[in-house]
Amino acid sequence: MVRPVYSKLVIGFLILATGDQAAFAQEAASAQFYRSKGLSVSVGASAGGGIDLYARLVARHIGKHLPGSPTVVVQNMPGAGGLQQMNHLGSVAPKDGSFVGLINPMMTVAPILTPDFAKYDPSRFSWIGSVNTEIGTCSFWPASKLSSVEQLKQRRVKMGGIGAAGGSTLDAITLREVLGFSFDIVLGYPGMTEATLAAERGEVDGVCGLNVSGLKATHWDAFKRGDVRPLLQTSVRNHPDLPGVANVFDLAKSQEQRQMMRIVFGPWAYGRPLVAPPGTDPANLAVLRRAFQATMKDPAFLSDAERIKLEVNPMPPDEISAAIKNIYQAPQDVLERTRVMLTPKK
Amino acid sequence: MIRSLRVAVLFFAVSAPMATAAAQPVESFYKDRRLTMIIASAVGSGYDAYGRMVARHLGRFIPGNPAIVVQNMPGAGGAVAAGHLYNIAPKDGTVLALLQRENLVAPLLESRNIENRYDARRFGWLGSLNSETGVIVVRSTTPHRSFDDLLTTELLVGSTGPSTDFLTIWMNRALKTKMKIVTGYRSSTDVYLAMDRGEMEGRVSNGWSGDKRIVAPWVKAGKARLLVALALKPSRELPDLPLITQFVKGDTDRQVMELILYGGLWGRPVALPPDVPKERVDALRNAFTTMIDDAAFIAEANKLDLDLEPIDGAQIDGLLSKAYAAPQIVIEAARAAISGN
Repeated sequence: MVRPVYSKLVIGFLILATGDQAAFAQEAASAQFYRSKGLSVSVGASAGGGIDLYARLVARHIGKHLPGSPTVVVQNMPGAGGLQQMNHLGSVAPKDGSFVGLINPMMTVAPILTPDFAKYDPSRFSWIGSVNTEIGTCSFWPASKLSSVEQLKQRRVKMGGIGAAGGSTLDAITLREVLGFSFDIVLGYPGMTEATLAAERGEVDGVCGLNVSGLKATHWDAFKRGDVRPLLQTSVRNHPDLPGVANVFDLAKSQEQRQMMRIVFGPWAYGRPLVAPPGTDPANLAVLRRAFQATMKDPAFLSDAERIKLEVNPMPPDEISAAIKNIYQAPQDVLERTRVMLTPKK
Repeated sequence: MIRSLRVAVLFFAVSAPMATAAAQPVESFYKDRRLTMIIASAVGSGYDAYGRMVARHLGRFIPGNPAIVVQNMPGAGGAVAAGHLYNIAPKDGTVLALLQRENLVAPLLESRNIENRYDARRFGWLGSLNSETGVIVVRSTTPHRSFDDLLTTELLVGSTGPSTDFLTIWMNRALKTKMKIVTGYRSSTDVYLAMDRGEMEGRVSNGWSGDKRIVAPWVKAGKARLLVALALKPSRELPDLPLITQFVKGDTDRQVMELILYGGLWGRPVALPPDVPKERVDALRNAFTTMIDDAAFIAEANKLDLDLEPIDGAQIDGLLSKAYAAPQIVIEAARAAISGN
């Protein structure tokens, strides 16, 4: 009981000493707020998947970096690939700083791709930071006998798609329609595990949407042996562990091709984003951002992440906002054509 | 002598506070207390939005102005929370709950369901925040243009789980509609996504307020049609949609329909446990009705697009009396109609 008061006194003295009484009052107010209300972190998926693991990792550590050291509680809100959660954040979630969400970054482009279901403006959300950049790959298994991009360009290739409209499916469709790869997509694998098993068996040649962090978690040994071959990186940046793997943005031949791919692949640059509702109380938003920054450097957080094999490459909030702005800057007809491209024909 | 004096003193010491508690003024009881508002549904649901809004405002109208803290208690379609409120929660007026509308007649209609461990008539009803209208919505690519088409042509409807299928099952059994239930969808949004992709034909919704965000624009754009309203009275928002009541003939069938559709009248029902001291029940009922008329409360409801069409606790008591007084033959018929097998 004594220590928190003591440190508050020290902080208070320092702030008073520098003449900033308003800051002292704000710090005390935030401490009181968070101590009494706690922090809730929503996750738009069931417990146990990648996004849930990241949310719980952050939740375990961010509390001690917030004034008042509040209890942090994770609330799973699965449904519609993250749309339930994102719509909740955009409408009725509390805006007082006590409620944040770790979202599927593709929710920032859902207003482009599924406008009927995503009636929010992602640029108005209160971005706190992204824990990691996720770099996707299209990877192929030995039964496919594919070992180079040149071979990939010359053949009809069978790609496993997860669900009817999951990331793997959208990625493969995008590369087929925009860059001209001859991808036949086999739909309906329940998850990445099933799709990669199918590739091991030779049912399909490979799968897109396999993040490097996922590769590391489940197929790294096979990758090091050369049994799993990423032949394409689907990200605006290259991954340091994939030297020589072709980047799809380098294969683009026009601005428009890059713009269309940026809608589908761009959000993974801020691959594990923590966000507060639009209009969140500015003082507490600043507090949350500082706490996030401190957490990303916290040795306990970093070793916890390493222990469970979660990559950490943080991105600050203004970079997230800039990336979203960049995506939405494409002309309206390019956005619309991307939506049509990814809408199943009825 | 001394011992009996000590006993006497003890007796007074023990009994005096109890005597005071029974007569304790409401305001001094609630001052500086924290009340718990249980929500019988998961975070992010429609019930959750309504419940949290009540929790933010109700305290202002309770003498003593207690703070109210929310606790989500999903499970068994609200039956877990209802059972907790009835059997476990303190009966001193510090716990209240927003239950799911089906919970009020579930014990009557699902007599074999052991999850329903409560008598809904004995709760201290504060009131309901809105009324709900169910709808049958279909993609405009299906041949169904009216309710009657459901009698001749099969319709695939996506379902989020057995607890909300009772309307569909009742219609298939009692009215001979040909709706085929496809389960496994995680949320109503998932059903609508499937409809958007052409994988699913329609949905039976028991709450337009949750679906209108997606469906109303579709109807306007001609992408979807509403076939019928599932309610006992016309919806303010869908006044021209035919009511299911006009397709139900015969006394028993009509009474069964009423039993099943009462839930729409108490769309978001708030209750205290049984046996809470009367002056606290009265104070909270008063607080509820005052809150509903409060400008700030109404403004927030508008901002959050949460429709308000309230009824008070006494009205719920009256409707429940009527429901539970239905003739046994009607109750049996209703149970059979929704039993799903």
